[in-house]
Amino acid sequence: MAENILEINNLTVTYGQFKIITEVSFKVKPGEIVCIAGESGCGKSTLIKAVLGLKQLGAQVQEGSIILDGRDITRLGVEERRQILGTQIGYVPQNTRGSFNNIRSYEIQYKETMNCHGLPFVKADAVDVFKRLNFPDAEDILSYQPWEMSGGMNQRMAIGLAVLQKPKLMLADEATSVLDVTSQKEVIEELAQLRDELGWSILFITHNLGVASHIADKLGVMYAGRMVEYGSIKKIINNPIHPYTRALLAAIPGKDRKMPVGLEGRPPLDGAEWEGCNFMPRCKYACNECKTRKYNLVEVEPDHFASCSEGMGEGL
Amino acid sequence: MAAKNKIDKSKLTKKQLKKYKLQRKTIILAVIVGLLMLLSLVAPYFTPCDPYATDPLNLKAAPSAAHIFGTDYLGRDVFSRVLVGARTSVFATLLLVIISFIIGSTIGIICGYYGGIVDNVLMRITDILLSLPQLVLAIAIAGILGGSLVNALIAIGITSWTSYARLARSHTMRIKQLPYIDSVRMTGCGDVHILLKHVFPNLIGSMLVNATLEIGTTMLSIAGLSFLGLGVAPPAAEWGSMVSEGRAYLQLAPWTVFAPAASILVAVMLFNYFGECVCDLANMNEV
Amino acid sequence: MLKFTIRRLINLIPVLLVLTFGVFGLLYLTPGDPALMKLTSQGTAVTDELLAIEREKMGLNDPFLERYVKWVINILRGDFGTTYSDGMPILPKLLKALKYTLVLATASTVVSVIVAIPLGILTAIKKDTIIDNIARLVTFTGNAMPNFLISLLLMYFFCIKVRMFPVIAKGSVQGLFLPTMALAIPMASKFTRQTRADVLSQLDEEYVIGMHARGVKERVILYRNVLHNALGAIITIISLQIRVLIGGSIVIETIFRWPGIGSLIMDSISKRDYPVVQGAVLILATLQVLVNLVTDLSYCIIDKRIELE
Repeated sequence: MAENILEINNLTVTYGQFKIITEVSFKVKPGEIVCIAGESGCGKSTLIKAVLGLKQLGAQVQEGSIILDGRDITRLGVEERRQILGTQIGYVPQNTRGSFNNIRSYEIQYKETMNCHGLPFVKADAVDVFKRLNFPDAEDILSYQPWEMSGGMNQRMAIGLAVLQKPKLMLADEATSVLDVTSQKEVIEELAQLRDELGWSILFITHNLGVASHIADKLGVMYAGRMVEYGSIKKIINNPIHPYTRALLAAIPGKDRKMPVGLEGRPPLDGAEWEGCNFMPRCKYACNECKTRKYNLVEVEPDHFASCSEGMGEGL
Repeated sequence: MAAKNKIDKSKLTKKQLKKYKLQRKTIILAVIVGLLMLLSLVAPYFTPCDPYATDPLNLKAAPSAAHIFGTDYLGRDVFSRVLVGARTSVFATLLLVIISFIIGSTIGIICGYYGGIVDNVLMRITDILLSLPQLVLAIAIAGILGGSLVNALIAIGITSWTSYARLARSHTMRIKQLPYIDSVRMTGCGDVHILLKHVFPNLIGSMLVNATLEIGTTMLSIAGLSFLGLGVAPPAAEWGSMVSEGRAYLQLAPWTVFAPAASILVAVMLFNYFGECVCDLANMNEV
Repeated sequence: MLKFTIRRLINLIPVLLVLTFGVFGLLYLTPGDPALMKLTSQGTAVTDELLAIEREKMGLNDPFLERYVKWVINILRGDFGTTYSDGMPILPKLLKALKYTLVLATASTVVSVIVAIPLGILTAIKKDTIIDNIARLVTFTGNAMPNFLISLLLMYFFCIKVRMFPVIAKGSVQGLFLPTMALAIPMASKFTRQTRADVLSQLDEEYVIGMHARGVKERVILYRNVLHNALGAIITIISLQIRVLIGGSIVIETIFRWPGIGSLIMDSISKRDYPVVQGAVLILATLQVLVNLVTDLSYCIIDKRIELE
């Protein structure tokens, strides 16, 4: 096994004629949970789409590379990619109806998926997995059809199938954001449990920093197509550096019943195309120099990188 | 920055461009369809020959400069007959669609608005009529009533109102639920006022879309009945009955069959294409 | 499933009641005296006395409802009455003709389904390519063609120009080809368009991406999932088309002289043999009702959710 399960190097991704992600780099180590956070439209979902690399999703890698366990998967052919999807990269989508055909039983769909990779489907193995993950009705659940199940249960069934497929890297695209609190907790804890038991690496996309802080080891903060801060989640939460990260953390509702401090304005739609700092219009520390400033993650302390540290002295 | 704004603009206009193209297409088709109707109305006055005049010296003549679609087994000019037939074929179709539309939507609106036992009975009847083979009923009815254009229209009309009734009913039931209808009622407006001023204008759009989609099918049904000799009786010219008359001479004078048949095909294609465009446009506006 | 079937069967009762009532009423309202028609079509010299006897024999003097009930009971016993023209029982004639119509209807449905479903899938996958555009033009034209035009075109080419087939089918296997094609072409056009639209809308569903994302083969996604889910709508259009098919078969059977129910109806109309028309309409409508029933049941097999509604 390579040192890193996933290496994203200097990745630039377009969607149609629009640049969505610009020069993003980070690494996911074995057994690590990496969370990418940011507002909607910042390119975090596109990042997942680029890693999946399905042409139907429309995300196109223009520059940079995606290395999965030492193998460059940036420009794989359709069939080669199909072979690694599922067995090396697992995926839990945002839409709870997005994994399974609603009107065919789980059993048929599990079997189909396994057989497509030349793997046998053993029902007892699946039931074992369900029991280990404390699914209700583990013995019979395979005979149900997805429409008979809650959204949370569907996500868990998708995770269950991934356990059988044994991927090295799981991608979760806002997998919990439409669930109620209880189901959210179940799914999150399941992912954490599987990381502990099977050594999964997980790339987790969310706009909910609460969820992120619960399970992640690393946090990446994206803004308008750029990675603005990356590092150990504890360090970032205790010591946010980038003005945007600070604003984002301040926006988490606290227990003290105070309204969270929101940011004024919206991110620029074409922010990924800007040469200079694209947070500038909303940044209270903006100065002339920011217009031409080259975006670069700089190591501010061990395991903590940020692209800007303006106004650090002032606090929030 | 300026360059980027330009890209943004083209993104916005992409969908608008599609809509604009569709709108333009629909308008062009509407003009063509309108011209077809106008033509079928006035063409009988501009026929090159008398459509009913027989010419024993010129039986089954192949298409030529004098008779561009040839002549039939009685020596009548096929082109003139196609022109005269257009009025019957096109207008009988439109008439039937309009009548079914009016009857069907009236019944549908009343059923949807008042509900109750009348609604129950009428909707069961539409269910039953919709579950039967329409053309078979039409053929049987027209056959028993005897062949004439009016009987053919009645025979098809007996089942054709049902789809409008169903559609109008479901729309009315939806509109009736809207909160603003309650407030209109609060101001003391009667049912008739509500139905005419609030319910009807809200459903007329989708009803018209449905009606344009039905024109082609209706035209084919009428042509089918005429072809079987259950519609317009010869010597009156109508496309379906002209095909039927010419059928016996398929080998010797294929033009007497294919000229009127092709007219039906072209007219139906035009109406169908127009209907589809209108339907797409309506869907696009909804989204 | 059983409950659903039983409920549907119970729903059939009012349909069949209205149907029989309508078909009976149709003849009742027919202008002209049935007894007179029967006697004249048998070539009997009609006298008032004879007419009165015949009226009594045919039960024409009974009240409407009584005649209707008698008629229904007779039909339930398999007695469709006798023809005006030769006084023979109607049922055997109907059954013989029905056999031919069923052969023709089945053949054309099978042909169009076999052609249309793969073509619909193909055009959906190859959306907006040249294949799709050609197929769209062809199916659009096929859809707008009157069935007699297709029949006559086929006849013109295959019987007159190429002389491959006999002009008159007369119920032979060889003669089945052209009427089948004539019915299948417009039907296959509709099916192709419908399949294409349904497959396209299914391809937009998110589960398709989800399946690709776990490496399910394209073939499996298309044929076992997308097609499976689109099948409900495809079956709807097939059952709707069977209505058109049953109607269209009358025209086609007349043109090709195929001895099915359609020919029988047209013959009987021209002979004013209305009881036969009545029986034939009843048989075709019942056939349609049964097709609807099978359609509903097959929805239920494809999508279990239907059962709950």
